[in-house]
Amino acid sequence: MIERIFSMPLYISMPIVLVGYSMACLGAGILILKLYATEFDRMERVSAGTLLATGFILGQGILASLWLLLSLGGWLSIEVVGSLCLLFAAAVLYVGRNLFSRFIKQLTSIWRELRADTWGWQLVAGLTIILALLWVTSLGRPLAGDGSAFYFALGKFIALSHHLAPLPGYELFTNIGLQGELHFAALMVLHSPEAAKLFSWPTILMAGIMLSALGRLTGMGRRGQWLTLGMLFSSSAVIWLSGDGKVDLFAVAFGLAAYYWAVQIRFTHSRVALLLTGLFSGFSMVSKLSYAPVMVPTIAILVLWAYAAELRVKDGKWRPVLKSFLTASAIILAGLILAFIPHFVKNGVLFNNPISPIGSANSGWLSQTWYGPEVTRYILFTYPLALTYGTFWAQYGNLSALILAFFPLLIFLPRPRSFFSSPLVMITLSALVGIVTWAFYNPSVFAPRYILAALLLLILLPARSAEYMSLNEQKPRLLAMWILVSAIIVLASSGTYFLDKVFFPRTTVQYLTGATDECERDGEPCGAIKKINLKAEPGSRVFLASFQRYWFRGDLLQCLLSDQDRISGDQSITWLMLYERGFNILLIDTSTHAYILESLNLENPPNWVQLKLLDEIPPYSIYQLSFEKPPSTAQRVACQRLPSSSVWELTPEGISTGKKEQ
Amino acid sequence: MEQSIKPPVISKRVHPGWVKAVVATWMFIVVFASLILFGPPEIWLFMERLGLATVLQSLKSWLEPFFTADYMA
Repeated sequence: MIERIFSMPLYISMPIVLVGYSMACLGAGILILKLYATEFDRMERVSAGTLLATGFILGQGILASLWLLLSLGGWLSIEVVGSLCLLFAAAVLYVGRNLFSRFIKQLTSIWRELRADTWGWQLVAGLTIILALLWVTSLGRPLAGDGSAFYFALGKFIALSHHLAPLPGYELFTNIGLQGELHFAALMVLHSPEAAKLFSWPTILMAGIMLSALGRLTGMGRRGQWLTLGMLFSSSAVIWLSGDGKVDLFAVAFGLAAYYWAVQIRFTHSRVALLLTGLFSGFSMVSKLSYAPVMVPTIAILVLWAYAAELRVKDGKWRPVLKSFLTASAIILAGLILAFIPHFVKNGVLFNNPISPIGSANSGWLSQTWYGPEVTRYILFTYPLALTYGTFWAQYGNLSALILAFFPLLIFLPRPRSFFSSPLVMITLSALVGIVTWAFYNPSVFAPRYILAALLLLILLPARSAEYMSLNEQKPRLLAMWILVSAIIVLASSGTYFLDKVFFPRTTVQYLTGATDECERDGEPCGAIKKINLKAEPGSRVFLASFQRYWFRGDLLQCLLSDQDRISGDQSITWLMLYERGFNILLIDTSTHAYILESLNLENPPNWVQLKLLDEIPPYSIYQLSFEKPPSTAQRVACQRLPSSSVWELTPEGISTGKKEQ
Repeated sequence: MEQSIKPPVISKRVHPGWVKAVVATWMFIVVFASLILFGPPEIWLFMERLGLATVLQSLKSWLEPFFTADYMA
C-alpha cells in the first residue's frame, strides 16, 4: 500500500505523507498522555486544541527519539517507519476521537465568535490565516544555506543509509542534539523530501496554538489570540524558517509547550503538568542547545511562582510547600533527563562522550563571538530596536513590528491587585530574565532563532494590551482604530514582502504538478551535483569545496570528504592527499571556496595528475581526477558498500568489505 | 471552553488624551519604519506615485546602517 501512495502524483502523495506523519506524531503524543488517563480526563478545562497541540509536540519529541535510537542500530527502514507511523496514526483516530469532536466544537465556537466580531477584526483574523496558509508555498522555495549544507542533508544521509553516523565533512558537528533532522530522515524514508521540507508548517501551527493558549491563561480573549497569532506569523524570524531545511522551529514548539505547562503548574499542580514541563524543556534544549541557558531560568521562575502561590494558600507553612516543591522539581528533572537520554546515547555511541558537545573538540561554537565590543554594546543597548529592525550578520529575521508598536499600550491595562499574581506579568518577566541571561551568556551572538521561544513570549503583553484597548477605549476610539489599521498594514505587508523570498505559490504549484523539477527550483548547486550523480561511478569520492551537499546520490553523500581530508598549504602534499584518500571528483564553489583553486593551482597540477574539467555551472566547477604513477607507496582509500546494506564505508583499496567483515 | 484565568483587577486607569496621542505616534513611527525597511515593492510603487519615493529612499539609506553590522565588526 505504501508503495502505491509513493507512485501517486506529488500533489496527492505529499499531502498524504505529511498529514499521515503528523497524525503519527499526534498519536504517539496522545498515547503517552493517555498513560496518565486519570489526570488527562481531569483536564477538561484545557481546550481540545491545546491538548491536541500538546500531543502533537510531545509525539514529535518521542518519535524523533525513537527514530534516533532505531537509526543508531541501522534500522530506520521504510518498513519500520511506515508500520510505526500507521500504528500511531490509527491509534489516535480511535483514542483521540473524543478530543477531535471537542476540537470541532471549539473551531465552530471560534468561527461563531469571529462572525459576530467587527469586519476589521475579521480582516485581521483572515490575514493571519492567509499568512499561516502561505507557509505551504515555501515548498517552492529554493533549498539553500544551512539546510542543504547540514540539517536537511543529514536527514537524507540517514534516510538513504538507514543509519545514523556523523555526516561526512561535518562529523564533529553531528554531536549537536538531533530532533528535526530525524523527522526529515523519517519523511525521506517515506519517499517524501517534500513533506520533510513542509514539516515545519504543522510544527509552527502547533507552536502557535500553544502560544495563544498561553495567552488564554493570561486572560486574553479571541481578539488577543488572533493578534498573538498575527504577531507570530508576521515575525520574519519565524517566516524565514519556513521550508529552509533548518530545525530551529522544532525548538520553538517544544519551548512554548514547556512554558504553557510550566504556567499550568500553578493552576493544576498535576504530575502530568510537571512531567510535560520537564520533557518539553529537555526536548527544546536537545533541538537547539542554545536554549539551555534561557530555558533553565525561565522555567525555574515559573515553577517558583507556582509554589509561591501554594505558600500563600498554606499561610506561610513552608515545610509542606518545600516538600512538594522538591518533589515537583524532581519530576521536572526526571522529564528533562528522559528527553536527553537518546541524545546521550547517540553521543556516547558515536563520539564516546555522552555529554558532547561539552568536553568535545568541537565545543567552540557553544561560546561564539560574532562582533567586537563596540558593536556588541550597541546591539545590547538597542536590543528591542535591533530585534525589530536589525539585519545584522546571520541574524536571520526579526520580531513583528506589532510587538514593539503595541508595547506602550500596557499603560492602559488595569493594574492587577498584585503584580506577582498576574500570569501575564510573570510570563513576560520570565521571558525578560531568559533574554537577559542569554545577553550575558553570549552577548555578541545576536540571532533571534537561538532563543526564539522566550522572545515569542513577549508577544503576549502587547497583544493583551491591544485587545484591552480595542474593547474598552471610550469614544473617540481613535487608538482602537489605529491598532486595527496597524495590524492590517503589518500583516498584509509581511505576506507580500515574503512573496518570492520565502513564499513561492507559482513554483509550488509547478513543482507539485511536475512542471518544475528539483534543480529548476534549487538552482546551481543542485544542477552541479546532479551532473556528478549522473557521471560518477558507484562509491566515487567527491572532494567537495562547497557547503552545499544535499542533492548528492546516497553513495556519494556517504563517501564525501571527511574532516580527516584536509587541504595543506603545500600544493604537492594536497595532491598526494587527494590521491591517497581516493578522490575521483573535485567540486568547487568558486564563490565561497576560491582559496581551494589557489591552493591547488589547478592550471598547473603536478605531471602525475590528470585533471579534466567535466562541467561548469557558475559558480561551480566540476573536475575529474585521475592519477598516473603517483609518487606514493601508500595504500589508496576506497569507498565501498557493506554487504547487504545501504551503508558505504571508507576502506583500503583492494580489500573487499566482505573480507573485512570476516 | 478554554481555561481563562483573569488576574484580579482593582481599577481602570484614566489617561489624558495626550498620552493616547503619544502612544499613537509611537505606533505610527514603529510601523512606518518597518514599512520603510521591510516594505513590499508595492509600498514603493505607491510612494512613487505620491512623489515620496526619493525622500523615503534616502530615509531608508539613513536608517539601515543603524541596524546592520558585518561579522566581527
